[in-house]
Amino acid sequence: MFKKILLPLPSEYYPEFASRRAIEIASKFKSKLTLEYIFEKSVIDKINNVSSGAVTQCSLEEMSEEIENVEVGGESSIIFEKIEKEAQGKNIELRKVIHSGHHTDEILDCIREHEIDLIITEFHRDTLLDYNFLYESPVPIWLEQNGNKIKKIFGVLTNLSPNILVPTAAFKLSKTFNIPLHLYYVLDTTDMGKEETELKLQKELIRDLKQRAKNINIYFEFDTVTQEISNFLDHTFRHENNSLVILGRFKKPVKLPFISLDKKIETSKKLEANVLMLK
Amino acid sequence: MVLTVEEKQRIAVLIAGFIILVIFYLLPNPEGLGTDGKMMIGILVLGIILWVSEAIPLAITGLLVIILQPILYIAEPKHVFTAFGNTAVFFLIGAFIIASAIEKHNLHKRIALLFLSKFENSPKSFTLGIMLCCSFLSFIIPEHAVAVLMMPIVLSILVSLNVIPRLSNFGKVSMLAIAYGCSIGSLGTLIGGARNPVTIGFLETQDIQVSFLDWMIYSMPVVFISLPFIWLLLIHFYPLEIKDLKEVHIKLNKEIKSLGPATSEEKMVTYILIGTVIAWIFIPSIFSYIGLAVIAVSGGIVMFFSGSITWKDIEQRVPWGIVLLYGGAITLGIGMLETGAAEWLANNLLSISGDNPVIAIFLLILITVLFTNVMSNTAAVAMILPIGAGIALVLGFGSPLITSMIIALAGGLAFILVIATPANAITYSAGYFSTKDLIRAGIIVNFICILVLFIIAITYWRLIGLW
Repeated sequence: MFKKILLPLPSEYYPEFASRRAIEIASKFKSKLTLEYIFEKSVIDKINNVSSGAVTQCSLEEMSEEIENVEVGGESSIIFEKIEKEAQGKNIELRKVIHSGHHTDEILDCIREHEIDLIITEFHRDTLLDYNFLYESPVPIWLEQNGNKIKKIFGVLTNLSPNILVPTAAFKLSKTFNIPLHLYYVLDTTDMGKEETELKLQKELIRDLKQRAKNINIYFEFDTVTQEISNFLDHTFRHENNSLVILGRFKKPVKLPFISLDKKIETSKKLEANVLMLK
Repeated sequence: MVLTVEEKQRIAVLIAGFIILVIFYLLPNPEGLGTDGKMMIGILVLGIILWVSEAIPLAITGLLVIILQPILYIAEPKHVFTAFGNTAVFFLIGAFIIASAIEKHNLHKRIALLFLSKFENSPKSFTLGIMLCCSFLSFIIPEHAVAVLMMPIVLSILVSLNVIPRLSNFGKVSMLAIAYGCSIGSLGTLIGGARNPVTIGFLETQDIQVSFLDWMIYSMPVVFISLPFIWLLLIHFYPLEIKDLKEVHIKLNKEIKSLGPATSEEKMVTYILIGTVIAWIFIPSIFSYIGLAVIAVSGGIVMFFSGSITWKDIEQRVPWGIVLLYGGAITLGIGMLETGAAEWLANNLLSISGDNPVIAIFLLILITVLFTNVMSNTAAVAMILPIGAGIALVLGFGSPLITSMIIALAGGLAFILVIATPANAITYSAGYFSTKDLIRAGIIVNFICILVLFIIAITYWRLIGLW
């Protein structure tokens, strides 16, 4: 689990919390950590749009080339150096790559090229970056919100998900980091089958989970909730800033309160808990 | 052909703009305004929609504003296109050619590096140096060109200091100093701010001549009072964490050495530039029939004859789209005034705010700052200039000089949003400050500059007889 981790480093900002978390996880799981510095081309495109001809194409190209040289050549090495320093003595194999292009495209390419199995990243609405990879990534994404020490892990099981990967990841992380685990079974009201069938499935799942937990010597708390999943996530984890919420795939589109790609939404609506989205 | 969401949005905005124009056509004439005036306001609203949304390039909106006037039977084609041939347009072309020569031979880079090297004593003085350097350079070349020049220089200095984007206040202040320095400096002369020539062009149509020196006399106090305040504010909000600038000294020396000794072309460009500026200051007062535009174009032609610049350079480096935008902007202003639309709007505006000139001045500044932060500075100025002239007429200021100067200078105060002005977008691209940082600093900087401009407008300008 998590053998090849990717830490994207966009030229727009330094993901301080994600960097620390990536080092921590890579160190625990003895993973290879790929640092991908991405010189963001869309920012240059934006200048072109904003200038509306005030800055000529010729000047823009000259400037873009100069900035790319400085950022790719100099800024990337400062950031790599900082992460290397933080990872010192933690026995992590680091790989450094530099790409120029668009955030999502470069991340997806890197996943394929380096057979990545986990991305650790931050989500900043106040940038010009394209975060579509949060939806398009074929591998799990750890969305780091604050860099705080994780004191509780929440696994979210639902009637909308296969519920296979979430318990596995939750048990593994809880055991590795020795953090208390709380599992929720959310019966999403918008997609409920027959109540009897749902209850039967739920009971079977709990029995199976308890058995698996017993086998690997793990204890977990359990609760069942009947609520729409996006409301549940928003209400329950909004202020859980010392926790990790693990989510699986959903069989229908679910509006996640922590990654709205709509930049008009207020940043204050951001969920404070860290999130691990399994694919 | 599959359209992207953005393209669909643009088409929707364009259609909405034209629907509004049709609504204006169908609406009965309001009291005190004829059909031509009503349709001119319709064109103005369409212009605002297109300039704010940038659904089509600004230059194309400029052309649209021109051709809609004859199409809607507001003015004859000959009359509209004559307005486009305003001397301000040719002043701009000349100034752009001169700036192209400066850029081509890296004269601005040499000036910037030498200037910055005088401010290496401490991190605080260095950030002040960046701001002053950007401002002073914006006196002689367009502000966008200064931002394009300064950003890579400062970026490489930040890299040499191992400064990490977003985490370093020194990085933030340095980049914001470029953006704000360029904007403030662009107020100072007719060349720096693209909207300044539009203003003198507009005033010229009202038979008011503003010389190069006059402009500086009016605007420089705003520049020199605002600059230190903005700098103090930046270093107060973002205390600098860098202590040692040894690397900066090494970096600057290396950069200066890499430029080598000044080439003969560089020297030639310097002489022509100095000659042109002197001519701009003195010649119009001696030979009044030789205006600023003749001198600007002469400077450009001398650059060409001296071999400092080729036609290919001019084609590549002059922002021709902006010339079209200015032309459109000037015809819009004239149309608004001649149809009585400007006066009608001014009357209505004053019926809300009252006819106190001091309040009117303050409101004019506020409105212009608001618009300039969400759309092209020049377009914002062009749009408000005729309304300002209407206000001057209604309030009996004597001439639209005071309102035009207020609008021109307030039009340069675009500090809040990344999209407000190219200088903001260019410096943002380096990644050292976030949009939130810009909004936070920009609001306060805007507040300070509004206050400075307001105080100067009601005291100094009154004292020197502007109103």
